[in-house]
Amino acid sequence: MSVFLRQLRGELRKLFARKRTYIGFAAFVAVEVLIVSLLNLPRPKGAIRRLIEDAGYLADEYFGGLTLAVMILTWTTVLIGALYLALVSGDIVAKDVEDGSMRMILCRPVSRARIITLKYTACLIYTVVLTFFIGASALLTGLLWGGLGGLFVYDPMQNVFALFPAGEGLGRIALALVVLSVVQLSVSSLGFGLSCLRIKPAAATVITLSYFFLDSIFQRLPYFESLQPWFVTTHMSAWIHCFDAHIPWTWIGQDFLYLLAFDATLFLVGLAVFERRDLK
Amino acid sequence: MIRLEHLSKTFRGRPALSDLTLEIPRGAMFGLLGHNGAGKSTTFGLLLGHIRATTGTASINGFDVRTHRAEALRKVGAVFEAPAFYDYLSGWENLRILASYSGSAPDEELHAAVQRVRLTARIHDPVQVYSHGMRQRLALAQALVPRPDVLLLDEPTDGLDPAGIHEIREVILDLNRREGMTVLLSSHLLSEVEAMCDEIAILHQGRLSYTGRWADLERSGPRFRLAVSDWPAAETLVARMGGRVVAENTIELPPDRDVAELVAALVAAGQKVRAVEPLRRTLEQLYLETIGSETA
Repeated sequence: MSVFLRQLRGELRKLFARKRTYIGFAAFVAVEVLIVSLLNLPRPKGAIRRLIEDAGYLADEYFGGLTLAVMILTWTTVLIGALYLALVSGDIVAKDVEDGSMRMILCRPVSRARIITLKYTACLIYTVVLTFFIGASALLTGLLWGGLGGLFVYDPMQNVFALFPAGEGLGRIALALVVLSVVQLSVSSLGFGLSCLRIKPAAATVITLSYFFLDSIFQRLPYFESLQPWFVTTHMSAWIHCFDAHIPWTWIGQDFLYLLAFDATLFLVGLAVFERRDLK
Repeated sequence: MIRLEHLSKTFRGRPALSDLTLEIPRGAMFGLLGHNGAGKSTTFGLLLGHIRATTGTASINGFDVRTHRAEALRKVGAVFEAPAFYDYLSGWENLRILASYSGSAPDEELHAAVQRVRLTARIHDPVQVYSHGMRQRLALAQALVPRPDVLLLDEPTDGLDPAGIHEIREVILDLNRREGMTVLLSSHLLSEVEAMCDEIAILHQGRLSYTGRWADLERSGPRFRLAVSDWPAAETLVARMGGRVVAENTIELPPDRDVAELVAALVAAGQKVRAVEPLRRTLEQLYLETIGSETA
């Protein structure tokens, strides 16, 4: 095993051995169960069924586990996905500096750039793991509640209205999860970039969350419509377009490029600041 | 081996270390003394590349820490005053993770380090249940992996009980004497530095006040308590020999004068010399005198 991989294993061990890392996982399961329970109440259930029937499809066929899973995903990633990604990414460098363990690491013949790269990689892995966990648990919760059926997706904000048979629906969900895990990296990247500054871990988390909430609010305001391409959350909604009848790959690719530039900038800024910092 | 040249560090306009030049030879057991805030930890931070020097250079084994950090620290182990570990992991996991940043460290080497600091029985316990002494021992163990040539120890026995201090001290002395490791030890405990170090440097307000051997620290001459029949006459005689009266019945002679000469002169002057008691100044007195003379 190369030295980098051995060091990365240590970094992941540190990350995944902490209890707070799992708060996000537990919270997601709880919220998913809550959302499914609410969606099965007569009024919301009736509204969704009407929406499907008004489009000329059979509600019994499309109001099933896959539909519930996507609804859960839409709401949970916005509601609490950012929270737990910001919590972990905001901590990853700042907490080590605050606790003094960074000084212990930096007594070793390892460059600061290597440390930052390792921590960023661990952060990205956590993001992907958490996103796939959310997807898998949403799917499981949906299937347990609604059984396997067709997939119905409706997102008026993104102009997505689509119905898929079960097989294709499953494929679309898998694809959406891949795209979602990429776009979610931006939350982690901002938390990580801030964590490299001379800042408390909690401050990095709070600033990250505030940024994404404000970005998401402004992005929806009609007054800022002309500025939409400049909002990060505009590009983060790329994943929902995996449910378009014809997937707009060019559009998704452009979103990826924008987010990649955003992530790389934050990583490089974090690295540059950390390289020059005095650690007392 | 360790060379600091005109090293200075300023934090927000406030000098923490000013023009420190020091050379610590290979195999030395060197003590860095000073009050809190004297610049000891800043010196360690500069040596480990945690802090960037405002001016000057720090090098270990011929490698500049700033420009060739990895090479300079390849054979360096360090212990801090309050070592920070990942408390939720075991001592062993902490060791493995920290050692991984040095490249490769086989398990046998880790076991040997753990055994050396006598932590074998508890090494797989989570660090959060460790006592302060155990954490210090774990800190020393991690500094020994992979085997270093240079040990930088910042208050390594701070907060330990007497038995713990003795134990850690023995390990460090053994590493220096048997294995020839160069040790730079920082402490504000004079007795500890005296017990362990051949040579010292005293830092005061970020400046080097003294560097050399302990014995040479006593720059002024030897002191004696005299019991004589006529003290005022004895005072005159002491002054004539170039000595000085430090207090009632206590004198200090120039380093080149023998106390026997004084006794002979006193007797020749008709004095009854009832007692001549050599006085050894305490370490604290010597230390404070050195700092005092620097301040003055």
